[in-house]
Parts: sequence; C-alpha cells; structure tokens
Amino acid sequence: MKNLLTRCALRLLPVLVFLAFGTGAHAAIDGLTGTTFNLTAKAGYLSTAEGGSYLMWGYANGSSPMQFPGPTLIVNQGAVVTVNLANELSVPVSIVFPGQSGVTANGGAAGVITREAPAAGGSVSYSFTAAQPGTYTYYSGTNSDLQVEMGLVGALIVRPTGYSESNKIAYNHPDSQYDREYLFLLSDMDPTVHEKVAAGLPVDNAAWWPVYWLMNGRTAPDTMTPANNPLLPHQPYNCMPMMHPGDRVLLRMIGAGRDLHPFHVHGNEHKVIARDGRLLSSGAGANLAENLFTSTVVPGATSDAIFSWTGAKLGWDIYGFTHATQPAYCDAAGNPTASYPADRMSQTAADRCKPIPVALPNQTDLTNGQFYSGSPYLGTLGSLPPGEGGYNPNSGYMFMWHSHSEKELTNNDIFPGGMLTMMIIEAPGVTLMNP
Amino acid sequence: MNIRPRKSQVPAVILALIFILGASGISWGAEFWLRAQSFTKTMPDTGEVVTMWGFAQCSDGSYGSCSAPTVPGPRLTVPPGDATLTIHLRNNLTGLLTEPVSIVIPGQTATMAPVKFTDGAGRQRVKSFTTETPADNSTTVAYSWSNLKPGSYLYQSGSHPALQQQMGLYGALTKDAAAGQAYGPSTAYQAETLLLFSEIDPVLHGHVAAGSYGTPAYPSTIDYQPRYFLINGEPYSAAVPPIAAAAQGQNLLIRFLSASLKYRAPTVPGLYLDLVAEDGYPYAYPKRQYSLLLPPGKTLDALVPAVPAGSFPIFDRRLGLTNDSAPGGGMLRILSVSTDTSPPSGSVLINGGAAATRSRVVALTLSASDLVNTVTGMRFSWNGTTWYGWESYATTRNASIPEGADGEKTIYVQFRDAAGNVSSAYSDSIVLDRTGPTGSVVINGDAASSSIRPVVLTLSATDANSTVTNMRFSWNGTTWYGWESYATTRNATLPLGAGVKTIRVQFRDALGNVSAPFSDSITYAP
Repeated sequence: MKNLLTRCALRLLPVLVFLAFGTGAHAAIDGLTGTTFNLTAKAGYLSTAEGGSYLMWGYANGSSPMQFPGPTLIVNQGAVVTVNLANELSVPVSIVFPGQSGVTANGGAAGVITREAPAAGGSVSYSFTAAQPGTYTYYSGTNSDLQVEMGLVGALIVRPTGYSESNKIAYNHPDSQYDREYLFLLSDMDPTVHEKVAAGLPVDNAAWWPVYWLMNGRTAPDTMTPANNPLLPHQPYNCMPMMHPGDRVLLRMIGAGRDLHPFHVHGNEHKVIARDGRLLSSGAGANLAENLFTSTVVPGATSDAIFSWTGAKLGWDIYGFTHATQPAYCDAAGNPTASYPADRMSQTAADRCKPIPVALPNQTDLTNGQFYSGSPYLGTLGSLPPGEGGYNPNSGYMFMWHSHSEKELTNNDIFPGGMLTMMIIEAPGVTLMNP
Repeated sequence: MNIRPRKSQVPAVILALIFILGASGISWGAEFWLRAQSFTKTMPDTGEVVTMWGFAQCSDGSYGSCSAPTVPGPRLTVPPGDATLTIHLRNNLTGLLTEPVSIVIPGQTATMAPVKFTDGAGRQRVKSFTTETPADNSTTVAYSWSNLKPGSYLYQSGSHPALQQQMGLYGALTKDAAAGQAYGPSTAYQAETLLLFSEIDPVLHGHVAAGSYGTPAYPSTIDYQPRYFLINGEPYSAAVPPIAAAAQGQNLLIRFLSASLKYRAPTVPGLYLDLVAEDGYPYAYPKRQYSLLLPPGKTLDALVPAVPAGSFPIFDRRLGLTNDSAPGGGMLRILSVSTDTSPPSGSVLINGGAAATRSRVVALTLSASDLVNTVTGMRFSWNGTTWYGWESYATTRNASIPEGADGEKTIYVQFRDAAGNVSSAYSDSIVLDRTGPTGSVVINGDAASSSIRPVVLTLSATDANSTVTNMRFSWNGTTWYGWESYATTRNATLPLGAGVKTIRVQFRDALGNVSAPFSDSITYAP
C-alpha cells in the first residue's frame, strides 16, 4: 500500500508543477488546425497510471509518434478537408467520418465499409466538405472491433462560420456560446487484447472485458497532468477543465470506446445542446436542450453541453467577504456596498457579504487532503500544516468529474483511477493554466 | 418474410348491419397462425451448428401448411385499418428440453392471464406472463389484441423469457397509421427497411440442446455472453448481400428493433437519421443523429428524408462485429440506395385549355408524376430557352403573359423530382387577344335618303383572333342600346324628325374586346 501511495504521489507530482506554473491560457482544445491532415497509423505504447504499459495502434500526426487518441482535427465550416492516411501497421486500416456526408475515398484498396490503406506502407486519402459545425469523431472502419480497441480513434471539431475568438460558439446560434471548451473523449480498454496483439496471438473480441477507463487517452490521475507531458509521449492530451465563476464551459463529449459511460459532473448540472453534431432544436436555437447531471456517453456518438458555475444559491459569500473582513465591500448591515468588486458578482446578490453559516472546525481536528487550500473561500489560501495543500496553490474549488459507474474509477482493479478528473474553479483574476 | 394476414370471414349479414347502422371504418381483424419449432442454424465463418427455437408461419388453423421456422419469426404486417389482431399459436418444440410458450407484444394492451407455479418455499411465482401453449403440437391457443396501435413492435414469447427470447422466439410486428405513413403525414415514406438486432450465446443454446440448461452445469442465462451478433437473424459475412433500401430521393423509413440482451449502437456514417418514434410512440420533434442507442427490447423508427444514392454501411458501434472470434462479421449491413434517373412526366394547361384570352393574367393547371419519387419542383419559360427559377411544385399557379403584341403565346414548364431529375419541357398555348373587331354598317344599301322611318341595316364585322359575338347601336354616339347578338342584317327605325340620321355600331368579340364605333348616315325626308 505504501508503495502504491508513493507511486500515486510521484504520478501527481506533475499536477503540482502544472498548476503552479502552467503554460498560459488560450482556452481552446489542443489539436491540429487546417484543411489538409497527414495521419500515419502506427504502433506505440500507452501508459496507465498504475504503471501498466500496453501496445496501442494510433493515428499519428505525420512522422510524430503514435498518439492516442489521434490528433483532434479542428476545421472551419465549409472547408474542403483532406485527410491523407499512411499505414505503417501490419494490417490494413481506414477512417470513417460519421456525420460527414459525401466523403470520397481515393487510392488504397477497397474495404467493406470504406477504402483502406493497405498494410505496411499503403496509403489512402479521404476528402469531404465540413458542411455543418459540431463535434464529431473519426475511427477505423476496418475490423473496427479490434482497431478501435487498439486505439485508432480521434475527434473532429468543425467550427461554425460565425466563430471567432471574440464570439466563441459551437453552432451557429447564441445558445452555443461559450468562454472555454474541453474535450471529453471517453474510452475503455481490455489489456488482454493488447497483450495478445503484441504477442501475435489470435484475439477474441467477443470475450472483451475492459479494466481500464480513459479520458482523452489517459487514466486518472494522469488526466490531470499537463498536455504534452514528456512522461506520456503517446498520450499528448490531458483532461482537466478549469474555469472562473460565471464562465460558460463547452463540454465536447465523445464515446470512443465500446461501452456506455455515465459521465457525471459535480458542481452544477450541464445543459446538453447537441447530439451527433446537430443542435437539439425544433427550429429556435437549442430549444430542445436538456439539463442533466449525468450524460450517457454512447459509443460512436457525440454530444455538446454547456456547464456553468456561478456560486449562486450557496447562501454565503464564496469569497468570504464580510463587514469584518472587507468593510469597504460590505456595510455594517451585511449588505454589499457600491465598491463590491464587479468581477465577483456572479454569485447571487443576496449571498454577497454573508458569512459561511457554519463554525469552521479547528485545524487540528481536520485531516487535510492535498487539494484543500486551508480555507473554504475561493481564492483564499488558509494556514495549513507543513506539507499539506500542495496541489491547489491558487485556492480553487475542485469538483470531481467522472464516470458514475464507480467500477470505472479504477486502473486494472486499483482505486482511484480510471475515468476521473477534476473541474477546477479558480477565483477571478487567476490565470487558468489549462489549456 | 413479410406476411400479410388472412382476413376473418365476417358474415355478409353483419356487414350489412354495420352498413345500416352507419358505422365507419369497418375493421377486419388481422389473423395469423404461428408454430414454435426447434431447428438448427449453421453459423457463417465458424460452421458452428446452433439449436434455435423459432416461429413458423402457417396458412390456417389446420397447421397443414407451414413455412420453415425462422429467427426472427415472420414479420407480421397488420393493415392500417385493422384494430384487432389474433395470433393462433401451436408449440412443436422438440428435443431434450422443451417448454410451454406464449406470445406477448410489449407496447400493445391485452388481457393477460399470468401462469404461476409453486416454488420450493411454497410461494406462488409467475412463469408465464399469459396463457401457455403446451409443447404437444396439437393444442392451439389464440392470443388477441383488440385495440392495436400503429408502430413497430416486437412480439415474443412471454413464457420463461430469460430463456425463450434468447432462443429465438421473437419477431417484428408493424402497423401503419395509414398507407405509406408510419404514424401520420409527418412520417410518410416511400421505402422501408426493418433491422432487427439480436445475439446468440452458443454455449447457452448448447445446454438447451443437451438438456442441461437449468442444471448446475448451466444454471441460467446469468452467464450469458453473446458470441454472434445478428441483424434480421443473420450475422454479416461476405455472403450477405446489400439491402436494397430505397431509390434516391425517397423518404426512407428504417425500423430498428432489438431482441438483444445487450445495448447496441447502430451507426450510419454517411447519413443522418431523423428519429421519429420510440416504442411505438411518435416524438413531438424528430431527433437528427447519425447513430442511435438501441437498448434491449426497444423499437426506434427513423426517417431519412430524400435519401441520397449510394452504399451506406450501417453497423453496431458497440462493435459486435465478430462471428464468434472471427472479425469481419456481426452487426453490419450495407444499405444500397439506387440512383433514380427517370424524370417526371407531366402537363400544363392555360385557363383550362381555352383557346384565347384577353387578359395577360392566366391560370395554369399543372400535373406531374414520377415513377420512383415525388415531384418537388417546377420552372417556367415563355420561350423555351430562358427559364425562371425553380419553385415548389403545385397543381395551380397564376402567370402573366409578357408584354408584347397580341397573338399566340406558349408557356413551357419543366418538372423536377426529389432526386433532381428534370423532365422535358411541356407546353400549352393560348391566343392573347386584346383587340376588338373591325366592321361596317350600311343603311338601306347606302341609299342617300329614306322617306319612311323603317330602314334595314347591313352589318359586317370580323375579328382577327376570335369571333364577333355581339353588337350594339346608338343614334347619338353617347346613348347605346343594349348588347345583342351579332347579325349581318337588322331592321331599325329612324328617329323622329326630318334630317340626317347617323347610326353608330360597336362590335364585341367572344373575349369581350369592343370595337371602336362604325357609322353610316341617311337623310330622313318624309
């Protein structure tokens, strides 16, 4: 057990580095942009957080290392997209683009579902017009039962014509407006398949039994380490949503594995506005959207949701402002003054300047986790015993976002792990370090 | 597989009575005869022989003429007008393990008679949801539904369902709200494909064949692990041909049904499906998706409006794509949509076929039909070369003849079908005639004078594009007598008082165009 804890702590070390220093914010999903993409199907190894290493097949960006999931392709609506696929694997591979109509395939060899890049050096080219905005997935249409499990899957994002840095929308309607976006590509994995492929043994996919559950290609807690972590050379994407109170966060959810996953968010519900790249609409915006706290993520399907968290309705001031602590912001009657900071007003007006309605326990009565800042207030660092609270240097609020099938919070029978990450809400003014 | 029911014989007297009572929507009861039977199925790729229980379709209550049993059982298609359904069931299961069977239809109301047994603890427990049909191949039990709803449904055994549904005792039952409409006008379709998803765990079937199901060797379906993944009773293999689903431009209805025990996720990468109904209930709004989640026991109906031509793979994205462990099989089909190259044919009439008009505004009557698809568009031209833009097809439309001289005018129309095929040009002509007749009037053969007031008028008028039908007269050019039929002679009486008398005449053609006045004079000298 001690060994495990040590390993977990080592694994989490990058979280600390990441949260403390970060790389600057651009609030967009990692991926490749453009209209022409050169992908190469090749092999590599996937690391699981408890120390496993498994043979994977993935789509690489050109001569870059194999990656899982494949590169997130980010294109603009109306663009004529060309995907050239080269194949370094010993089996034929291909790509299907569900949700894109009129995909043409050139070169390669005929397959059952689409044209394929022949084994060991073959190539094929796909082209389509990205006619409609939305979140899509792509994956191998060749022996998909094996090749999707082996990792030949990725995300495709089509930005709407009305999109700009100052008007971030997922679809051509204000209902899809957002401040920052995150990808949640959920998959599952049976290591037996990968071991048998590595050993050249026949695979029985009818007996598939997953024991790993992944978000954007990583198991927890690796989901929370930075993107392009050199310790995870074949898993460049992380999965760590961050926001400021009041932000609208776009969740792009993709079922990339074989099983259904109940993706559960804490902190607030989320409004599902689209499925399979189409706004849930009868004609007037996302008027058929639905509020959920758990989205069923279906294999091969995508959905988009808007999550927001404002601090509203808690009944107390999330920043800990009271007349005693901030007389400039709060008058003697416990009401906010005209000087109350404008960037802290997302919480309900009646909650401003109200003290937390509990007597905070004495620090010596607490067992502190590494994520506790020592204070219940957002952005406030409290006093902590030596060595505690290292993972939350900016005193954010952390909400676990995870599969609600608790079995899926393990890495090969070891808890915690699997399909789990944290949504970190940082105080206004704190630079968000992911992405 | 698609079997229509035999009609009940309703005595003519009763029909007459219903007629007299003024009842509308006379219902003919749909009636089917099914027989549960054991058979073996050889699986592709592996050659594994699996014992199945399926339904066979029989022609009548004698059970003398039956088709081979199948899994799924025969599709039962109930005509739109039928409110009642009766399925007669016989049970010819054979082998080391046989059981009484029954029929239930989730989603359709029926009077159920659950069958119970007493377990080891003395408790009454249900073993069949409704009356059982014993495996004696002689007892026939009738199962009836009196208020059958439209939609897509599974019929299945309601006895020991954990075993019997898995063994294959299920099938599809469909009823449309009206001919060509699944649930109403918004779900009208021209082509239809039914896809029934199911699975086989050969180990379970093997224990049924060996009589060891329900023994410690294989206690129950709890150990169920499917190894074959089927659509319409067959896993994919190279021998499975594409499904001829529709012709280009048709509205394609796809009925998804699942007799699987696992979730399936049918996906069509090249198309979007408008999900229109679930469990036989239409949605308020369609859900547009390229994939759908198909839970066990569920039915989902999807419409693909104006389906494009091509080959569209449809497969289970939960990756039930193996035949046992062999890849390249399972729940995969190719939907083939044929190209529609036949254009519509049609006609156009101006003003109901009239020969001429004096108004530039005319009414067009249009008619067009297409062998494969619906006619969706039309466009017009007044010269056969310069065309106005495409507009929605309609059977009537007003049009304006272009400015210009009178004469024969021809309108050309082309029709377009949902697949984009454009017809040749159809035309109709009409004469535009806005000019009155020309003519003359002569009094008394152009005599200079008359001593008496009665005179004879000689009239002559012609019209370029029509016929002269009327004339009227005036002695002063302002006060006119009424219109009368055109004639070449007419008697008239000169006004009182000596002097020069001038008669004025106007002629009118059949379209109503009126000529300028023509006149002649005579001196009245009494």
